[in-house]
Amino acid sequence: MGTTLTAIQAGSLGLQFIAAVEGVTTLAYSGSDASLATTAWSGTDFNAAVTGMRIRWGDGQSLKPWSADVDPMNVEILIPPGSADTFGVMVFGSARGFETRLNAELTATATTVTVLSTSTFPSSGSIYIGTERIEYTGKTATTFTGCTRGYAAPFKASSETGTRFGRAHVLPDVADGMVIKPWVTSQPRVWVGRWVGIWAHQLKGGVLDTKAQAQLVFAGRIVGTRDEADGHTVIELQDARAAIRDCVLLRDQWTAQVAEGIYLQEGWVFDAADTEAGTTLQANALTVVSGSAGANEILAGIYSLEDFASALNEWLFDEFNAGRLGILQQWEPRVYTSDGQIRSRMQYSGGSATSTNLCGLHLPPEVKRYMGFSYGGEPPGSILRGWEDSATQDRTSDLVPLAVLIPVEATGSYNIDVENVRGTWFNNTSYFPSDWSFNTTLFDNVGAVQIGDGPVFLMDLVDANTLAPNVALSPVLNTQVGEHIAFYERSAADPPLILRQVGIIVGDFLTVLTRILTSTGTASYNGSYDVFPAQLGAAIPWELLGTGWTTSMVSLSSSMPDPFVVITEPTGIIDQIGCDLVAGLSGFVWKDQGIRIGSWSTPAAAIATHAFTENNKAAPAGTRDEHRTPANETDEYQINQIKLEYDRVLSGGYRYTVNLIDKASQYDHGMQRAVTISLRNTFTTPANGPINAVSERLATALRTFSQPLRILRRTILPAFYEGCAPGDIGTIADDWVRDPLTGTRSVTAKACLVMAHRADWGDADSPPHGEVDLVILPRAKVVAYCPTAQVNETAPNAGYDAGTKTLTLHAHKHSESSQTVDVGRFAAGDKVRIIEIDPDDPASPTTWLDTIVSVNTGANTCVLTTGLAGWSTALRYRMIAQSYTDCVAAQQVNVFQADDADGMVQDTISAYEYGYDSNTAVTWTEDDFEETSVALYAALASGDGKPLATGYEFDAARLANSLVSARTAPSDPVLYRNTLSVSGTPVWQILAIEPYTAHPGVLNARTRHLRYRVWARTSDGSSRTIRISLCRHPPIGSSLSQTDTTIPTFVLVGPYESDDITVASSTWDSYGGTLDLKMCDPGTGIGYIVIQGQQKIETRGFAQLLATSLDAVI
Amino acid sequence: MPHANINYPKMIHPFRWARNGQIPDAYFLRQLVTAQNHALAYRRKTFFRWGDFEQRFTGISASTVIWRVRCHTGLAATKIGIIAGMGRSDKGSAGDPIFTFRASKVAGGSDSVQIHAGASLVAPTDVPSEIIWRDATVDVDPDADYELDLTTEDYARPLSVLLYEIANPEVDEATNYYVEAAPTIEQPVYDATHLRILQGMSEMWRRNGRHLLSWGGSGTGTNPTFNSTTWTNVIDGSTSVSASTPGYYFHSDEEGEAKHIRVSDTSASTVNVVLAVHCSVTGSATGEVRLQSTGGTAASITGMGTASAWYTTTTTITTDNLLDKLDLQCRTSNGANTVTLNAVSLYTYLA
Repeated sequence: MGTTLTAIQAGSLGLQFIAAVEGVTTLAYSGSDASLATTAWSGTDFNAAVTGMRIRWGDGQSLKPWSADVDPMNVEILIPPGSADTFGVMVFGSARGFETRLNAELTATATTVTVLSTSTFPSSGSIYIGTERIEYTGKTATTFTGCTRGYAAPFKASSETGTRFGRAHVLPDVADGMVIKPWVTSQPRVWVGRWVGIWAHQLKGGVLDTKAQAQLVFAGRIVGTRDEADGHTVIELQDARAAIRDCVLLRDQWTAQVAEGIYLQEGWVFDAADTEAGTTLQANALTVVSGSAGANEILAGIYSLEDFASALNEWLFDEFNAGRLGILQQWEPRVYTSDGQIRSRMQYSGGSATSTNLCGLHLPPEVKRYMGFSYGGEPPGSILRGWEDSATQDRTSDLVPLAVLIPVEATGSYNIDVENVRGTWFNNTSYFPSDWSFNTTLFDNVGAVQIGDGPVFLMDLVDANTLAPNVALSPVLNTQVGEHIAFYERSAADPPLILRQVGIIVGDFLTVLTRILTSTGTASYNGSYDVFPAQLGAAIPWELLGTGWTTSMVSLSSSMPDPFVVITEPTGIIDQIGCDLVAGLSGFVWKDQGIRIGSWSTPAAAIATHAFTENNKAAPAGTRDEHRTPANETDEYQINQIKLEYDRVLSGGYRYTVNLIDKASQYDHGMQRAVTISLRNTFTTPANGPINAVSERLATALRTFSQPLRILRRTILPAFYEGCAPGDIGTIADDWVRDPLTGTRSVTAKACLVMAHRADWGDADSPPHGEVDLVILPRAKVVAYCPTAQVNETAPNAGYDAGTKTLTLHAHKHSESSQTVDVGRFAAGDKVRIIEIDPDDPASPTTWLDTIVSVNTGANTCVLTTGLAGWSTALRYRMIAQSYTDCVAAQQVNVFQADDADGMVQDTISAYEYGYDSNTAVTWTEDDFEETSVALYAALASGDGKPLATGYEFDAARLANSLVSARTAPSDPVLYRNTLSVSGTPVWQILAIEPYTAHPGVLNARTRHLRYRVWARTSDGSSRTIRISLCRHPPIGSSLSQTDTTIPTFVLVGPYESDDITVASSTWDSYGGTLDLKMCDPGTGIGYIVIQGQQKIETRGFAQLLATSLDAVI
Repeated sequence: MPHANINYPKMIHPFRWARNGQIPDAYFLRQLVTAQNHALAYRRKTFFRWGDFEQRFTGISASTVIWRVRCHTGLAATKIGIIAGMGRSDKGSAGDPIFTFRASKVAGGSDSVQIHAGASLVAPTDVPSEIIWRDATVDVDPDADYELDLTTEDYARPLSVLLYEIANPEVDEATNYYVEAAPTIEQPVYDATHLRILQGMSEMWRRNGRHLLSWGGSGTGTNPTFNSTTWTNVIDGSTSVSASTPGYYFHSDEEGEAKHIRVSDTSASTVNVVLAVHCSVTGSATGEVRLQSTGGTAASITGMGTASAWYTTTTTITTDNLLDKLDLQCRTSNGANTVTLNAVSLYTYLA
């Protein structure tokens, strides 16, 4: 935090502004002394300044429910011409300087720029490509060398002091439809798209705060420039969120046309025979080979119908001519039937005219289908039988001959050729779900490819024009449906078959969205989240996101299901991800010098971070033109029914919907108003886990919007211009606002949510002005928990001094270190209960009632009135409030439990209510509470009037985590008394098949592991491998051993994962590893563990078999 | 009735949702309800597994118990499921190999199911495609001690077995401790909901914890005997604990630190368990069984007598011991009489 922010929040208006434009080393400064600006920015790329800049601050920002649209702030900077008219010349001299064209693609980090010619350029200096400025130190005839990339970039790629933000530059291809190469110039020419930052600097003592101390109040990109009549150069800006709005994912989508033909695989054999007058003749087989083809051989590869017909007929004719066949079989690839259908035809001739003759072709079944003949009908299915008798006969195919045949092969042996390739392929492997399995050795460049408008297969890009299909996906793309499952066919009568790559990304919401926002195509260039290919990223400089962004995302990410992003065509980020933001009641906001996530929460004073009072209005009460706060109760955002669509299908639309209805609202208000949220990135799992997560989150919050919203609009002082944004919670004290409890004017400390925020810093001609729109709820039943303080068992006498009746408490067992210490939530006079934590008998915990005499927050102690007779140092204790009616008024502002029978707290007041706080993020990590064991309940924790104390809520969360993640995690090692030994010399032998269950259900896009230790050795100490596999189904096969891996006699079935472990000792020991539990059936939890060994392997089974805990809490 | 959510709920950040100054959050309450219902419905125990395909059980003519398990069913449990991979047999006199799974409630009552599979006229080879996979269930009561027997008859040849607990996933408050609630903003803070969650999770933590170990027998109908006062490893017959003697690991030391033991009890240093042994002893001696690490005894049971029956003890294992490999050992008290050890079970349980 710079000192300028401190000054702003303190009400100082001694501010001046500096704008930095990408690639321009001259700053625009609102002051009159340029040296002040250059001094403040010393040490940066910016070494000059023009003065007299003015800024027109545009509209503010707002957070509206049910819409993810980004409505960016529009800002203009006006730069006077001055004596040199520096900006005017630069901006409008758009054909100045030397020029050449880029002649080789340029990554963001490359230090040599290849161009057509450097002859007109100086030996060192600056060049501009697009919006980027590059400094070079040398040149050759066609290159600039020693380049510094991203020079004078206002925002950095890794941190404020990190890498300059350069950009990649590409050479368009003819496939893109235009081939104009980018200009490389000695003067800037491209202005729209440049990043611009505006910093507020405190002017104090005649000196500006340094850049590091200044406050970035605006960041955006240039959307236009104007040459005003008064000579000003006007630069029009939209804030950085517009760069998100304008980004298209999968913008360079790879598409191609399938080359017609069938791929003849190496090893395929064609055979022919005939029987004429009782004599059987057999042709020499035709074999598909690689390399070069000899006699009766044909090269593997793609063959069109005509080429294949030519090759087949030539072989058959040669065999007939050589006398090895008595009947000449010839194939016509295209004939037309009388009704206009396309078919193919086998013709038979040359046999005896007086005999009944039979002949046949023995073909690979794929080839038979390719030729237009169905697979079945004549055993064996691969034989194409014909006949010939007294006259020439023929056989017409029953199906259309194919132009394309795509069998799905796990072995990668079948390829398809593609042509007319456009766009850029990317390896999608790293972002697929972890339970998608394929042979990563054979397939190392895998993408998801849609075939025409049909199914999607995972395919490996073998080379630029060759694909190897592998695994098919389900119609909704979120699951694999297996291998070898289908042939995809296109007949000769169909139009060309187009393939297109589909992007599939899974991960937690924070990771997926941050990767999308930051990725540049150069791995880790723009922070650690920069991992996606360029076409899947928005390349927002990391400096505009940073840890402030990730912190703001934590709550949303932890409460939303992990998105399963399927990008089927070029799609805007908002179109693709916006549904998840809408469902999460969140949106992009600008706050604290960066892009953040703002979310709707229940206004509650307990979580307020702003206090809007009369005194911090732009014109406070009592002044001559005091600002009053109007209220508007509106149904503009009122929704009492939400339809959630999910399970998007490729052919369009969604398979399922879920309805959330607030029936009470519908009947109370006599209206039914619905909104539909199409969840593009939410798909079915066995029991709808992700959609349940979304619907539960929305159902939790729907009540906020199923009633009219009361919206207040009031002015704010500049102290609220920074650090305040839509989604923030505050309190309002206002003499004009009507109190919902009375209907009369004046509220004090009424909780509110900032819905909109506008700030205009003004200039010499215009004073600053700003305002906020605030949402208040009529009732105020959402208040803070009753506090808990835990006795410090490490203090003398386990935290209790009986002599002074003083309790010593932990400072922050129930609060963060930056917050009030736990005992500070109590005060003298408070009625408290000290109660044993985790009692052996929940009905009779050790407990005392007492009254606090005094509290010392420095020492974390409090003195009690009566004292704690019978104190045990062996137990742990916490301090909470007594029951509601026993407490003093100051304690009764917190939450106490109500009797569910009458809805009253000890028959005194109506029940308190739960709210919704979507924004709070904490800095604790799992390790901070990992060492704390779970605590079981005490009956006294619940009941009419009992406090809703944080200690017991904390216990409940810990118990839930322990139960789900650890306490119930299956642990079922099995050790066998007999030694399981591999016999003989097989390559592999199955030693054990053990059914296993890790519980049904999945943890979407996350990984849980089966941790094992197998007890093993080799019989003679030689080095051998034992293989542990977790499979969805039991293995199949004709043997427990196999000696030839190319012809397996048993196979593992379904998704499976295997670990190979080297054992090289004759001494028994355990060998550990992990397997992904997603291999088990998600619906039943059942899987099968298979132990295989190489020769000399011996095992006794598993010394450990434990489902590990869930991912850490975030 | 709606079903509990089958998919794993995300972990809940205790400090995020429950700290001083924070408001009670309806979404937090939803997460608790979801987790509790999920755990009741789906986080069930596994009681026994087997899968020796190397020295494969050849079958027995007479009805013979080949595996035994003692366990405690969790809250909301309704069934125990069995998955059995049955080998073929060509020896059956009646041509009907029968594999029986019986669950006997210690307090009385039982249920059983028979698997008829494996009749074959040709010699079995036990290749994968020859195995007949069957599944079945027996009814059980929740929160009860059970003795599970697996019996073969007429040369039934179970080669792979899994026993696991099943619950009815319908969220019905008639079943302890499902929570019928759909918390939302404006949800009143009621004592009954609060109690059902805190009490329910506590009781589940006591009763639904993992079953740690089942050594169910040798799997042949002939179980090992011990007639020495020297502690002897049940698995390999070794008489001292070392790195090369077979034993069990129960912890999850992902980071090599004790704090990551996920079976921590409320004391943070011990785990409450039940150690159960099925055995018989000839003569006047008593049988003794223990789980032993190189550092000492983790848990033990003594006093088993002549009756071939289950003997149990409620004890604790320290978390330090759980970091070690634990060998299963047996001995007789006098060296003259013989212990026949039929089964050993170890499971978490807190009354």
